[in-house]
Formats: sequence, structure tokens, C-alpha cells
Amino acid sequence: MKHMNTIRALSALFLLIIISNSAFAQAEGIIKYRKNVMKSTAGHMGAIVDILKNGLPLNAHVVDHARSINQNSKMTLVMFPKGSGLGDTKAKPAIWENWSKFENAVNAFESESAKLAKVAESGDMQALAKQVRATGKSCGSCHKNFRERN
Amino acid sequence: MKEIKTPPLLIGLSFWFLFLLCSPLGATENSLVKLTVDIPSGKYLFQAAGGCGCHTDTKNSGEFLAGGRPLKTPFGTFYSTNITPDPKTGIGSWSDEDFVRAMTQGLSPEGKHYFPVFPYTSFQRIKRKDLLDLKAYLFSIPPVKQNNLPHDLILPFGEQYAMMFWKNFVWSPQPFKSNPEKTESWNRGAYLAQAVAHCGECHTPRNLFGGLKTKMHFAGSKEGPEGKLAPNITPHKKTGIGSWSRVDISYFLETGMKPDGDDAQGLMGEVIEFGYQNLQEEDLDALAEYLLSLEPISNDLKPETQK
Repeated sequence: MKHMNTIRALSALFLLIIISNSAFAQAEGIIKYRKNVMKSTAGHMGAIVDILKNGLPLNAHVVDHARSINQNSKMTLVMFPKGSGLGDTKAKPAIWENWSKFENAVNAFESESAKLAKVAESGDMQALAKQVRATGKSCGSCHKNFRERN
Repeated sequence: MKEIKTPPLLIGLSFWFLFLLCSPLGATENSLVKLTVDIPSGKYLFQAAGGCGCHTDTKNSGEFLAGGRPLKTPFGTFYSTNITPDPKTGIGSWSDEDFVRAMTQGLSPEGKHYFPVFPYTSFQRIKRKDLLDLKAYLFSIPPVKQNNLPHDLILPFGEQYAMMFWKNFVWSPQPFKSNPEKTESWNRGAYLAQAVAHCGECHTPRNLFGGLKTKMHFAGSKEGPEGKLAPNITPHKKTGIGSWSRVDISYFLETGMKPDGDDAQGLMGEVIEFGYQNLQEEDLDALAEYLLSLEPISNDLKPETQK
């Protein structure tokens, strides 16, 4: 009986290791993925701002950048499945502890970036500059609560 | 011959003295002559100082400038003070001289030494007129009755002696010196950065005694406010902001958005939101001009595991 118990405990342990390993591997994949999406969001944001602050004759590009940001915003929530808080990530556990708050923050980003795309289409660069700030704020307020700092 | 030389000198000296007496310039700086204070200018200065957010306990929805915010440092946890004009718990009973002394010498009206977590080390460079405007603004906000909390320090005794030692042996106050060889906007930027916006209090690393390492001026600190990293803001290409353009910097100070599209967090995010974003374009540009003119210092602070 004693042996049976040890065997049971050991096999349970093995199972746990295997499961957690594959979960970890999966988390690693999604973490890398969402970092890339986040970087591209920031890249588009930076690109719009470059056009604005340097007065580049590339106003026509602004629409595409803004739409891309809005597209990315729609992908954001699903990039944070449960269990993806472990590994090389700055995502805070607060995301899964306060999921509805996180969801609200991502939704705010989605609606601000939708406005950004609209304003970009209108061609009103002054309104765009304003909306860039509003969108940036939605990024910042989510990061404030849910992203670890250096 | 010797006797002839003196009279012109005497005449010259007396004219010079007369000139000083009549000159309005002589009266404006550091004299006890009453100045007309200007609340809007004081508010602007307040914003240029980053909105004095350390004095508002934002995380616990504390009242505006009523203090009580914990500030963690290697020397223990300090609690910021009430700077609303409440006469008992705030600074409402302070005279102009009390205020100037606190801001320039780090002394309370009772003559107690303040810890340099309160950046009088930078504020001592602020012009008297600006200080009095700032006081006028602070006295115009709603008073809040809230007692100050005692600090929680690693050495909980003898702190006044420690501060006397510190002020005499660690701190060497450098007054603000304008540089006539530089542009007017550069000088404005230098004044804002060194005195009002007090950039160096976080972005210059400190020695064992908590004094700023002046040779590492603005080169970043691993132990910035709240134990977080304060980046190198000298124009060093690899480790500082050398790849930022002038407009990158002014736009960042106005919006909190970095050239790579990421946003400022922590205290920097706060000083922008509650302060710098309200500055005039010329002032933001002046700050950028000044920062880019600094000597680039190589100081890599980034943690090994990157992004």
C-alpha cells in the first residue's frame, strides 16, 4: 500500500509537470505574440506622431496607421488568456484578478482608437492631434494599472 | 599725481552707488521690498514644477496637496506634507520669508531641517519673485485640515544632527547661473530644468549620503522615486535620449508619448499630466534645447532582461 501511494503521488507530480510545462510553453508563445502586437500598436502611434510633429507631407498615411491601431485594439483582449501571466512578461496579475476592470480599459482603448480612425479619415489634422492624445491616454491608463514598470 | 587719480574713482563709485539705489533691478531680487504677486504666474510655475504631485496622495484619493503620500527611499519612507493654506496643519500661517526659507534653505519656520526628499536643493535656484508667486498660488487653493504623518526612517533618531551634517558636508548648493553665451531660450530651459522642474532630483544618481553626483548630471538613476528607474536624459546616443529630436522631447513633455509610441508611466507620467503638459510651447522647446545641449554621459540603466 505504501508503494501504491508513492507511485500515485509520483505520477500525479509527473502529470502536473507535463501539464504545467505545456501551459508554460503556450504562455511563452502568446507572450511573444502579444508583445509584437503591442509593439506594432506603439509603432503606428509613433508614426502618426512623427507625421504630426514634423509636419511630414504624409497626411494620407495617417488613415492607415489609425485603422491599424483600431484593428490591434480589437485583438488586445484575447491576447491575455488566463495563465499567460507567467514568464517573461510585464503583464500584472491584476489583469486576471480584476478582469472586468481590464476589459473596460481595453474597451476604452478600442473606442478611442475607433474615433482616431474616424478623425483621421476626416483629414482634420488638428482634431487628429487631439485624438492622438486621447488615444494615448487610454494606452497609458491601462498600462498604469496592468503593466509592470522597469 | 597720486592725488589726482582718486577723485574720478570716488565720483564713479558714488554714481554707481546712486545707480544701484535707484535701479529697479536692484530692488527685484532677494530684497525685502514688497513685490506684487501674481497668482496665474504662480500657477504656471506650479505646473512647471510638475504639479507638486508628491504632496497629493493620489493612490489613496487624498485631497489636493494635503500630503500624506508615502515616498520610499533608501533612507526609509517619507510622508509628504500638507501644503494647503490651512493655518494649523498646512502652510497657511507662513510668512513670505518662511516660505522662501523653506524653499531655498530647507528650513521650517521653526528652524527645523527638512530632508532633501523635499527638493529645496533644486528650488533654491528659483528666483524670489517666482517663489512669491508660487506661494500666492498655493495660498489660493482650498485649505485642507490634515495632520502630517511622521516619517518612517531607518535611523529614527538624531535626524536633525544628521541633516545639519548633510547640509554642511554633503550639500554644496549651486546657484543658478545664466550663460550669456547661450541663447535666451537655452537659459530659460536651463532655469526650468535645474530650478523649477527639478529634473535632477530623480534623473541624477545619488551617492551613499543621498547627495546628487554632480558629475553624473541628468545621467539617470536606478533608484529613482518610488524605487523605480529614472532614465538617463543626457543626449547620449545609446544609453540616453541622444536619438530624440528637439521636437520629440517637447512633444513627450507635452503628451507623455515617447518617440517609439509608448507612454510615460509612474511619476514622470504624473508630472506631465498635472504639470508639464500645461507649459507653453516655447518653454517645452526651451527645455528640449537645454537637454540636448548637455554633455552626453554613457550610463546604461536598462535591466538585462529587455522587453
